[in-house]
Amino acid sequence: MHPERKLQEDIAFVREAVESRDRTHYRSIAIAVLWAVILATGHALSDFYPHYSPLFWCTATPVGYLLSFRMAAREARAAGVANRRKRARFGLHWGSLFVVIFFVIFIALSHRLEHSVMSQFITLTAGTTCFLAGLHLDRRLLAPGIVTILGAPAVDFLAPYPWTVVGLAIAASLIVSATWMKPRENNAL
Amino acid sequence: MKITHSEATASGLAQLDKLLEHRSRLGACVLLADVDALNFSRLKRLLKETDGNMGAHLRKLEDTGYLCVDKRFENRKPVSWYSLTKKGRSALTSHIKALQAVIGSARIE
Repeated sequence: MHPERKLQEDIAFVREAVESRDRTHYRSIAIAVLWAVILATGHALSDFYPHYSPLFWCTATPVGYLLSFRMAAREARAAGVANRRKRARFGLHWGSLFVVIFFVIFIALSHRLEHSVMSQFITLTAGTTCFLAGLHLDRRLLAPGIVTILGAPAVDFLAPYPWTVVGLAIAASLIVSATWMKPRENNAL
Repeated sequence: MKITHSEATASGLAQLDKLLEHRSRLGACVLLADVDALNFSRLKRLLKETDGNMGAHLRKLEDTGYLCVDKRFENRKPVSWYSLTKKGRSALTSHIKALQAVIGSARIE
Protein backbone atom coordinates (compact mmCIF):
# COMPACT_ATOMS: atom_id res chain seq x y z
CA MET A 1 0.00 0.00 0.00
CA HIS A 2 1.19 3.54 -0.81
CA PRO A 3 2.54 5.23 2.35
CA GLU A 4 0.32 8.32 1.80
CA ARG A 5 -2.73 6.08 1.44
CA LYS A 6 -1.90 4.19 4.65
CA LEU A 7 -1.39 7.46 6.51
CA GLN A 8 -4.74 8.80 5.30
CA GLU A 9 -6.47 5.63 6.47
CA ASP A 10 -4.77 5.86 9.86
CA ILE A 11 -5.84 9.49 10.20
CA ALA A 12 -9.43 8.55 9.29
CA PHE A 13 -9.32 5.82 11.98
CA VAL A 14 -8.04 8.26 14.62
CA ARG A 15 -10.62 10.88 13.60
CA GLU A 16 -13.39 8.31 14.02
CA ALA A 17 -12.10 7.43 17.51
CA VAL A 18 -12.02 11.12 18.51
CA GLU A 19 -15.53 11.70 17.12
CA SER A 20 -16.78 8.66 18.97
CA ARG A 21 -15.25 9.97 22.22
CA ASP A 22 -16.87 13.39 21.77
CA ARG A 23 -20.21 12.07 20.51
CA THR A 24 -20.93 9.58 23.27
CA HIS A 25 -23.26 10.77 26.03
CA TYR A 26 -23.53 9.32 29.47
CA ARG A 27 -26.32 6.83 29.87
CA SER A 28 -27.51 7.95 33.28
CA ILE A 29 -30.59 10.19 33.44
CA ALA A 30 -30.11 10.91 37.16
CA ILE A 31 -29.23 14.58 36.63
CA ALA A 32 -32.29 15.09 34.39
CA VAL A 33 -34.51 13.47 37.04
CA LEU A 34 -32.98 15.65 39.78
CA TRP A 35 -33.73 18.85 37.83
CA ALA A 36 -37.15 17.63 36.78
CA VAL A 37 -38.07 17.24 40.48
CA ILE A 38 -36.58 20.63 41.43
CA LEU A 39 -38.25 22.49 38.56
CA ALA A 40 -41.67 20.83 38.88
CA THR A 41 -41.72 21.48 42.64
CA GLY A 42 -40.47 25.06 42.36
CA HIS A 43 -42.96 26.02 39.66
CA ALA A 44 -45.88 24.37 41.49
CA LEU A 45 -44.98 26.33 44.64
CA SER A 46 -45.46 29.57 42.66
CA ASP A 47 -49.14 28.62 42.19
CA PHE A 48 -49.95 26.95 45.50
CA TYR A 49 -47.57 28.48 48.10
CA PRO A 50 -46.08 31.58 46.44
CA HIS A 51 -44.57 32.85 49.72
CA TYR A 52 -42.28 29.81 49.93
CA SER A 53 -41.23 30.05 46.29
CA PRO A 54 -38.23 32.49 46.67
CA LEU A 55 -36.85 30.50 49.61
CA PHE A 56 -37.19 27.27 47.62
CA TRP A 57 -35.41 28.62 44.53
CA CYS A 58 -32.63 30.20 46.63
CA THR A 59 -31.83 26.89 48.32
CA ALA A 60 -32.80 24.19 45.81
CA THR A 61 -30.99 25.59 42.76
CA PRO A 62 -27.49 25.98 44.33
CA VAL A 63 -27.86 22.56 45.97
CA GLY A 64 -29.01 21.09 42.64
CA TYR A 65 -26.08 22.76 40.87
CA LEU A 66 -23.54 21.28 43.28
CA LEU A 67 -25.21 17.86 43.28
CA SER A 68 -25.39 17.66 39.49
CA PHE A 69 -21.75 18.79 39.22
CA ARG A 70 -20.74 15.95 41.54
CA MET A 71 -22.95 13.41 39.76
CA ALA A 72 -21.56 14.40 36.34
CA ALA A 73 -17.98 14.06 37.60
CA ARG A 74 -18.75 10.60 38.99
CA GLU A 75 -20.43 9.52 35.75
CA ALA A 76 -17.49 10.74 33.71
CA ARG A 77 -15.01 8.86 35.90
CA ALA A 78 -17.15 5.72 35.72
CA ALA A 79 -17.07 6.13 31.93
CA GLY A 80 -13.28 6.33 32.00
CA VAL A 81 -12.79 10.03 31.32
CA ALA A 82 -11.14 12.69 33.47
CA ASN A 83 -11.50 16.10 31.86
CA ARG A 84 -11.17 19.18 34.07
CA ARG A 85 -11.54 21.61 31.15
CA LYS A 86 -14.90 20.16 30.18
CA ARG A 87 -16.07 20.26 33.80
CA ALA A 88 -14.99 23.90 34.04
CA ARG A 89 -16.87 24.74 30.82
CA PHE A 90 -20.10 23.19 32.15
CA GLY A 91 -19.57 24.81 35.55
CA LEU A 92 -19.03 28.27 34.04
CA HIS A 93 -21.98 27.90 31.70
CA TRP A 94 -24.46 27.04 34.44
CA GLY A 95 -22.74 29.26 37.03
CA SER A 96 -23.22 32.26 34.74
CA LEU A 97 -26.99 31.65 34.96
CA PHE A 98 -26.91 32.46 38.69
CA VAL A 99 -25.11 35.76 38.00
CA VAL A 100 -27.54 36.73 35.23
CA ILE A 101 -30.58 35.82 37.36
CA PHE A 102 -29.17 37.96 40.19
CA PHE A 103 -29.06 40.96 37.82
CA VAL A 104 -32.54 40.21 36.43
CA ILE A 105 -33.89 40.26 40.00
CA PHE A 106 -31.94 43.45 40.77
CA ILE A 107 -33.33 45.25 37.68
CA ALA A 108 -36.86 43.93 38.27
CA LEU A 109 -36.85 45.11 41.90
CA SER A 110 -35.38 48.51 41.00
CA HIS A 111 -38.18 49.05 38.48
CA ARG A 112 -40.78 47.56 40.83
CA LEU A 113 -41.92 44.98 38.30
CA GLU A 114 -44.58 42.53 39.39
CA HIS A 115 -43.17 39.28 40.81
CA SER A 116 -44.91 37.24 38.13
CA VAL A 117 -43.28 39.34 35.37
CA MET A 118 -39.88 38.97 37.05
CA SER A 119 -40.45 35.19 37.20
CA GLN A 120 -41.25 35.17 33.48
CA PHE A 121 -37.97 36.97 32.73
CA ILE A 122 -36.07 34.51 34.94
CA THR A 123 -37.73 31.59 33.13
CA LEU A 124 -36.82 33.11 29.77
CA THR A 125 -33.19 33.57 30.87
CA ALA A 126 -33.00 30.01 32.22
CA GLY A 127 -34.57 28.68 28.99
CA THR A 128 -32.06 30.53 26.82
CA THR A 129 -29.15 29.21 28.93
CA CYS A 130 -30.55 25.69 28.65
CA PHE A 131 -31.04 26.01 24.88
CA LEU A 132 -27.46 27.29 24.42
CA ALA A 133 -26.22 24.38 26.55
CA GLY A 134 -28.09 22.11 24.13
CA LEU A 135 -26.37 23.76 21.17
CA HIS A 136 -22.84 23.80 22.57
CA LEU A 137 -22.52 21.24 25.38
CA ASP A 138 -25.13 18.48 25.41
CA ARG A 139 -27.84 18.17 22.76
CA ARG A 140 -30.21 16.55 25.27
CA LEU A 141 -30.81 20.05 26.63
CA LEU A 142 -32.17 21.47 23.35
CA ALA A 143 -35.80 20.40 23.82
CA PRO A 144 -36.03 21.41 27.52
CA GLY A 145 -34.51 24.78 26.54
CA ILE A 146 -37.18 25.35 23.88
CA VAL A 147 -39.98 24.27 26.25
CA THR A 148 -38.68 26.64 28.95
CA ILE A 149 -38.40 29.56 26.52
CA LEU A 150 -41.96 28.93 25.30
CA GLY A 151 -43.12 28.51 28.90
CA ALA A 152 -42.21 32.10 29.83
CA PRO A 153 -44.86 33.83 27.65
CA ALA A 154 -47.27 30.86 27.91
CA VAL A 155 -47.76 31.58 31.63
CA ASP A 156 -50.11 34.45 30.66
CA PHE A 157 -52.48 32.04 28.92
CA LEU A 158 -52.49 28.96 31.14
CA ALA A 159 -55.11 29.57 33.85
CA PRO A 160 -55.72 28.46 36.57
CA TYR A 161 -52.29 26.93 37.45
CA PRO A 162 -49.94 28.33 34.83
CA TRP A 163 -46.63 27.79 36.66
CA THR A 164 -47.51 24.21 37.57
CA VAL A 165 -48.29 23.40 33.93
CA VAL A 166 -45.04 25.04 32.74
CA GLY A 167 -43.00 23.28 35.46
CA LEU A 168 -44.47 19.89 34.56
CA ALA A 169 -43.86 20.51 30.85
CA ILE A 170 -40.20 21.38 31.50
CA ALA A 171 -39.77 18.38 33.82
CA ALA A 172 -41.33 16.05 31.23
CA SER A 173 -39.16 17.44 28.43
CA LEU A 174 -36.01 16.94 30.54
CA ILE A 175 -36.79 13.29 31.27
CA VAL A 176 -38.10 12.46 27.78
CA SER A 177 -35.13 14.12 26.12
CA ALA A 178 -32.59 12.41 28.41
CA THR A 179 -34.26 9.01 27.90
CA TRP A 180 -34.89 9.36 24.18
CA MET A 181 -31.36 10.50 23.38
CA LYS A 182 -29.78 7.83 25.60
CA PRO A 183 -27.17 5.96 23.57
CA ARG A 184 -27.74 2.35 22.61
CA GLU A 185 -25.99 -0.29 24.71
CA ASN A 186 -23.18 -0.91 22.20
CA ASN A 187 -22.44 2.83 21.94
CA ALA A 188 -22.76 3.52 25.60
CA LEU A 189 -19.88 4.35 27.86
CA MET B 1 16.75 23.55 -6.45
CA LYS B 2 13.30 22.08 -7.09
CA ILE B 3 12.06 19.46 -4.61
CA THR B 4 10.19 16.65 -6.32
CA HIS B 5 7.03 15.02 -4.99
CA SER B 6 8.80 11.82 -4.01
CA GLU B 7 11.60 13.76 -2.26
CA ALA B 8 9.07 15.75 -0.24
CA THR B 9 7.24 12.54 0.69
CA ALA B 10 10.47 10.80 1.63
CA SER B 11 11.55 13.78 3.77
CA GLY B 12 8.16 13.80 5.55
CA LEU B 13 8.24 10.05 6.05
CA ALA B 14 11.75 10.27 7.55
CA GLN B 15 10.49 12.75 10.14
CA LEU B 16 7.65 10.52 11.30
CA ASP B 17 7.95 9.11 14.82
CA LYS B 18 8.32 5.34 14.43
CA LEU B 19 6.43 4.70 17.65
CA LEU B 20 3.43 6.73 16.49
CA GLU B 21 3.24 5.09 13.08
CA HIS B 22 0.88 2.46 14.45
CA ARG B 23 -2.69 3.78 14.31
CA SER B 24 -3.62 2.59 17.81
CA ARG B 25 -0.60 4.25 19.44
CA LEU B 26 -1.23 7.43 17.45
CA GLY B 27 -4.93 7.23 18.35
CA ALA B 28 -4.15 6.82 22.06
CA CYS B 29 -1.94 9.93 22.05
CA VAL B 30 -4.47 12.00 20.07
CA LEU B 31 -7.33 10.91 22.34
CA LEU B 32 -5.30 11.85 25.41
CA ALA B 33 -4.15 15.19 23.99
CA ASP B 34 -7.22 17.16 25.05
CA VAL B 35 -8.36 15.38 28.21
CA ASP B 36 -6.60 14.96 31.55
CA ALA B 37 -6.80 11.15 31.48
CA LEU B 38 -8.64 8.16 30.03
CA ASN B 39 -8.80 4.74 31.59
CA PHE B 40 -7.65 1.53 29.94
CA SER B 41 -11.09 0.17 29.05
CA ARG B 42 -12.22 3.47 27.51
CA LEU B 43 -9.09 3.63 25.32
CA LYS B 44 -9.50 -0.01 24.35
CA ARG B 45 -13.13 0.50 23.31
CA LEU B 46 -12.48 3.72 21.38
CA LEU B 47 -9.57 2.19 19.49
CA LYS B 48 -11.33 -1.16 18.94
CA GLU B 49 -8.41 -3.15 20.34
CA THR B 50 -8.19 -6.32 22.39
CA ASP B 51 -6.96 -6.24 25.99
CA GLY B 52 -3.61 -7.76 25.05
CA ASN B 53 -2.88 -5.50 22.08
CA MET B 54 -3.97 -2.36 23.85
CA GLY B 55 -1.84 -3.24 26.86
CA ALA B 56 1.20 -3.83 24.64
CA HIS B 57 0.75 -0.52 22.76
CA LEU B 58 0.28 1.46 25.94
CA ARG B 59 3.31 -0.18 27.57
CA LYS B 60 5.48 0.84 24.62
CA LEU B 61 4.26 4.43 24.88
CA GLU B 62 4.77 4.37 28.64
CA ASP B 63 8.30 2.92 28.36
CA THR B 64 9.26 5.69 25.93
CA GLY B 65 7.94 8.31 28.35
CA TYR B 66 5.06 9.46 26.11
CA LEU B 67 2.38 8.37 28.56
CA CYS B 68 2.22 8.13 32.30
CA VAL B 69 -0.04 5.74 34.13
CA ASP B 70 -1.81 6.09 37.44
CA LYS B 71 -2.98 2.73 38.80
CA ARG B 72 -5.74 2.86 41.37
CA PHE B 73 -8.40 0.71 42.95
CA GLU B 74 -11.95 1.84 42.20
CA ASN B 75 -14.77 -0.18 43.71
CA ARG B 76 -12.16 -2.83 44.59
CA LYS B 77 -11.11 -3.19 40.96
CA PRO B 78 -7.73 -2.09 39.58
CA VAL B 79 -8.12 0.77 37.08
CA SER B 80 -5.25 2.26 35.04
CA TRP B 81 -5.59 5.92 34.09
CA TYR B 82 -3.36 7.12 31.24
CA SER B 83 -2.34 10.68 30.47
CA LEU B 84 -0.04 12.26 27.92
CA THR B 85 3.32 13.54 29.20
CA LYS B 86 5.10 16.70 28.03
CA LYS B 87 7.47 14.52 26.00
CA GLY B 88 4.50 12.68 24.47
CA ARG B 89 2.75 15.93 23.55
CA SER B 90 5.87 17.29 21.88
CA ALA B 91 6.41 13.99 19.99
CA LEU B 92 2.77 14.03 18.86
CA THR B 93 3.06 17.63 17.63
CA SER B 94 6.18 16.81 15.58
CA HIS B 95 4.59 13.64 14.22
CA ILE B 96 1.45 15.49 13.12
CA LYS B 97 3.58 18.14 11.38
CA ALA B 98 5.42 15.38 9.52
CA LEU B 99 2.10 13.75 8.60
CA GLN B 100 0.83 17.04 7.22
CA ALA B 101 4.00 17.36 5.14
CA VAL B 102 3.58 13.88 3.66
CA ILE B 103 -0.12 14.35 2.89
CA GLY B 104 0.53 17.87 1.56
CA SER B 105 3.17 16.52 -0.83
CA ALA B 106 0.71 13.86 -2.04
CA ARG B 107 -1.88 16.57 -2.79
CA ILE B 108 0.63 18.57 -4.84
CA GLU B 109 0.99 15.55 -7.08
